[in-house]
Order: sequence, then C-alpha cells, then structure tokens
Amino acid sequence: MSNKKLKYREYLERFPDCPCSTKYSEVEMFAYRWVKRQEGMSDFMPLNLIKTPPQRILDDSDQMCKGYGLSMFLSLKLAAKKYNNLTAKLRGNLREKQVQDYGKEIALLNLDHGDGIAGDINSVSGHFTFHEYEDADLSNKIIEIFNIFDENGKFVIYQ
Amino acid sequence: MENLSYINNNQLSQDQLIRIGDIVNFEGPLITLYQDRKYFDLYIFDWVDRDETTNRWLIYQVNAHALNRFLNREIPHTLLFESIPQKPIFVTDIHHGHTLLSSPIKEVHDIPKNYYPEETYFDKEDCPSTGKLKDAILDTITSSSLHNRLKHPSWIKADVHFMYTGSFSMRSKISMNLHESFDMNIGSNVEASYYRLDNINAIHLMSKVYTSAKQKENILDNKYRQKYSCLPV
Repeated sequence: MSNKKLKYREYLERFPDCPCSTKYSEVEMFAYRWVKRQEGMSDFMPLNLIKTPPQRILDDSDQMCKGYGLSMFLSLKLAAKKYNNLTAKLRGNLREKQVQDYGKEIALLNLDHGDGIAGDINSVSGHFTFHEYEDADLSNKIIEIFNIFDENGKFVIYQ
Repeated sequence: MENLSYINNNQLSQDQLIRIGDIVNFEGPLITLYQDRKYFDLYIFDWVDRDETTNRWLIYQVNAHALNRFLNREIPHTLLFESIPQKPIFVTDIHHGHTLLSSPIKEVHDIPKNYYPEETYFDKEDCPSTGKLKDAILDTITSSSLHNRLKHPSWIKADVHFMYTGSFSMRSKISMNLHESFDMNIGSNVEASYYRLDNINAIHLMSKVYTSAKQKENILDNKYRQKYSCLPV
C-alpha cells in the first residue's frame, strides 16, 4: 500500500487495522458499480455516511470499517446478477424503493493505482469493497454505462 | 410505511436476544437470526419496510427444523415464516443513528399483506455466516431433544459415566467443573439443573452427550473450543 491517504480516514481510524492491511491493495482493473446518476447525488458515497434512506443497522457491528468503502463487482454479468437476485428476494414494497436507491444503471470504472485500494474479491459473487484515496474522484473514472432494465422493465441479461 | 396496530404491553426484550448471524446480508443485514438466551427460541429479524428515517423489522419465532430445511433449500421463505403459526409477531422500528438496543420490540395485531415473505429460497451466496447458523440450529434441536429426554431418569443414568470424565475451566469469571455440577444434580433434579445453569455453553455441553461413545468426546471437545470465544462475560 502506498503512503497516500484514504478518504474518510477520520472515521477509518476508529477501527483497528481499517481497512485490513493484508486484504487490501492498489489495483489496476475494470470494475462495475450500480449507479443512479442523479443530479446533485454522488454515486460514490459510502453507506455509513448516507443518512437517507437510513442504513440497516441492528447493532454496532453493522457499521464497521467496510461501510466506509464502496461496493463494486468484477464483471458486468456479476454486477447485474447480484442486483437481480437481491431485488427479486425483496417484498414488493421494498423492491421499488431499493431500485430507486441502487439506481438502474451499472457504471464501468477504470480503476488505477491512484484511485484507492480494493479488498478481496468474493470468488462467487465477484463483489469487493473499494476504499478511495482522498484525492480520488471516481465519477471521472466512468467509461461506460449499462442499463439494468430494458425498455419493457425486464432485467437485461449480460453474458 | 404501513400503519400498524400494536398490542399494548406485549414486548419482547432486546436484552434476552443474542444475534447469531445474518441469513441474508448485502451492505447490511436483510434477514438475521437471533436466539433467546434463556429458552433458546430462534427468532428471525426480517427487513420489511423503510422510510426516509427508519427501517422496520418483522420479528417472528421459527422452528429449528424448519430453519434447517430453509438453509438446505428444501422449503421457501413462506413456509419458514409459517413454521410456528400460533406464535406472536413482533415489529421494531429502528431510526437512523439507533440500534436494536434502543428500539422497542412490540407485538402487532395483524401484519399487512405486503409484509408476508416472497416464495424465495435461501442462497448461500447471501449468507456470510452459514456455519454459525447451522451450529445454532443444531444446538437448538439437540437442546430441545435433551429437554424431553431428561424427563426419563434411566437415560441420564446411562450416560453418567461419561459425564464424570469431563472437567473444564472456562474463561473469565465463569468457571464450571462438569464433574461437580453434574454429580451434584444427577441424583436430585436434573430437569431443574437444566434451567438453573443459565449459561449457553453449559447447556450445549450437556446436549451433546447422547451420541455414540466415540463421537461424544469429539463433539464435546469441539463445541467447547468453538464456544469459548463466545462466552458471556
């Protein structure tokens, strides 16, 4: 890990070894993230800092180090699959709300060493957590946008 | 969020519940398993609603066998929900910046139709703690089984020789000698001692003694090590 400082370090410092030094490293890779692309709303705000809607917290263990990172996926297919699987399991009233919260698009990001550090990639879901460096601006790293739904509101199947 | 009608003065105490693990988690819990410290009942915390400031959880008791079948993908969420149909249903609203500890759990008269679960199946990919969940379910099933079997004194006597062989000292202020505690109680009132030992680990150890002789030692030893770090202090 370089000597660059992480964004939100004033919060990260509250946790021991956060993010875990053995599991996070700088990367140079393409990554995919669900985005809303709404005016005045950042698509790169960590969960722990979002007040509305409130984060799902049962106890303090739900608001740990990872919550100051950003969820990303290794491939478009896996990003779309997780979105589909997750929203399909929700009750109807929540599904609509979560689609609004998660956004209806997937952004392809071109991450490089100066952007931050990535955690271990889940071998099944392709999910990983990314902690930005303080001077990173990931909105400038978007190189393509993909729709999650087609014009009929059906999930787009990506291969 | 939906308006609910609560049953006055019928609350579930947060203090008596231990969080076992999340059954579904993505960027926070969606379905979580809790267990009652005293009676070992299993409760599901099921995220059912939210508005701009609050998350709402539906809380219901489930049958350990049904939960095991759900985790094995043998039954859907709907059947898990119905596994104990007569039990009360509770709700807690957790506001932004709060946790369960500061959020009362109240019984509701009826639940809105859209709070009923979907016909979905468990997916291991959503679950960060399958092992812990399975352990808790197994422990609950065996504890329940033990509870029934303790009513038959002949069964207790059959395993006494094994009970005498165990002797453990546990961390912190909790210290227990199986030899002494069981020796003391076997001759008198074993069922009372089951409840008197208000310690999950003690009961877990008891619950494992009626398997085969070879397995006995393995299970006892494993369970002891596994539970060591979870001991209430």
